[in-house]
Amino acid sequence: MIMEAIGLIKSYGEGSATVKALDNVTLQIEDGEFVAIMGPSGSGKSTLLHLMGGLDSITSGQVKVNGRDITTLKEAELARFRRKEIGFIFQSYNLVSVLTAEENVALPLLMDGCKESVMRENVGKAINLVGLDGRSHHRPSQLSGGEQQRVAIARAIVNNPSIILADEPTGNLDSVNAEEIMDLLSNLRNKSGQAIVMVTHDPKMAAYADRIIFLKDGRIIDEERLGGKIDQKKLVSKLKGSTN
Amino acid sequence: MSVKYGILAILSRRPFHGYELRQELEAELGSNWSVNYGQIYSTLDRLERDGLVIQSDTVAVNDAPDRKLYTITPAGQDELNKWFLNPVTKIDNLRDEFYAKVVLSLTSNVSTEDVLQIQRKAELQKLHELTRLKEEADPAIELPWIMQIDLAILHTEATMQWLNMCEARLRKLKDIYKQGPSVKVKRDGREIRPAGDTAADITKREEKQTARDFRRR
Repeated sequence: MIMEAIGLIKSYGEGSATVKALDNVTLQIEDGEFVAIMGPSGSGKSTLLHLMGGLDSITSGQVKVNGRDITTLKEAELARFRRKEIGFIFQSYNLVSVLTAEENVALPLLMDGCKESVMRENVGKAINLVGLDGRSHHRPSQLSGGEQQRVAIARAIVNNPSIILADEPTGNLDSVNAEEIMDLLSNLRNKSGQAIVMVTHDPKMAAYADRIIFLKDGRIIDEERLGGKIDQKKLVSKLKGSTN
Repeated sequence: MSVKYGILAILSRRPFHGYELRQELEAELGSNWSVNYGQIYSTLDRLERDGLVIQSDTVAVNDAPDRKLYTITPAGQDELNKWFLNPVTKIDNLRDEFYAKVVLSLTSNVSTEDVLQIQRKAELQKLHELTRLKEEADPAIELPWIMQIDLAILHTEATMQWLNMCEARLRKLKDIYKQGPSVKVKRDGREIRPAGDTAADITKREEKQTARDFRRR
């Protein structure tokens, strides 16, 4: 198990005006598992992802990554933990516009005071993995949406984190680009075994996952493990049509 | 799709005889559209009667009996073009079993939300398998196959969007009941009883509520 959330509560406001964005959420993410979190808007999906990544304060409960409780970490420790253990991917890419693709990818390493030679090698590898060789000196504004998201993915994996947290990673992309980004993510997972937790409202994207967690009104209402429940041969013959 | 247009489309490329036509149809569309020779020949007879195809030459095939070669006529080409350029208007989901299930569940003792969520999970399983099939397909040589999977994926997505809408409508209905009957009493004691909540009424009420919430902040 790579990550565990125990009794997570996030509330805003006080007294009778308290709004619970998350209400006692408990879940486990296994090593190398790809989990999608689905739910209507306002169900707490993004809040949950932010809490799991230490991006927001927790009202009560625990988040453990590799057995370590991150809720007790001080600000500076938490920042270091995030850079080392977690790769974030956002809907709006969140790239630094004045930096080139390569420099954006190098950022997390720079902040960790990584050696120049190691940095070059890791950045090169990450850029290659996301298929952006030859585009590495471009600025975000010179790249398409799909390419910008590739840069963001390279930046998320450059530190070789144990888990990737993605918030609607294909939300700004057209369907063909969205599919390419999802193929890339699931291939990366298969190659390097990183766990992925992805928030999405798009069932087409959630279908890439191994497991889906359904959230509603801040609570987990259901979950489903994907795969193995449908006979693929039957599906193919239904699609292709078989008279044999 | 009727066999008629399949045959016309194949014949618009070049003349074929009946035997080849069946093979071409199946090669092009997959065996979902598979038809037997009887259907091919009876359709060809009708097309010929209507002047959409004509029998041209007969071809001698070794010692087998001569085969008739069919050619599309200008009228046949017109008919085919018309078919291509008219949208398909068949709405087959109106008799969908799941639709019936959802509607009937509203007045039964099962929870409609459960019915919707169970179907959502089944649709996701289907999407998952379809996505895997697409990942395994080679875009360089299996384009028609990939396009067919795309279509199946989007059909599934449409069903899931419909599930979301059903849920949203149920939620709204519950809110309406929570608020009690929407009867307004004027100052002079006259009651204004709306005939029923239209979508516009519900939206307006929500907008007012949002404005109130906003002011309260």
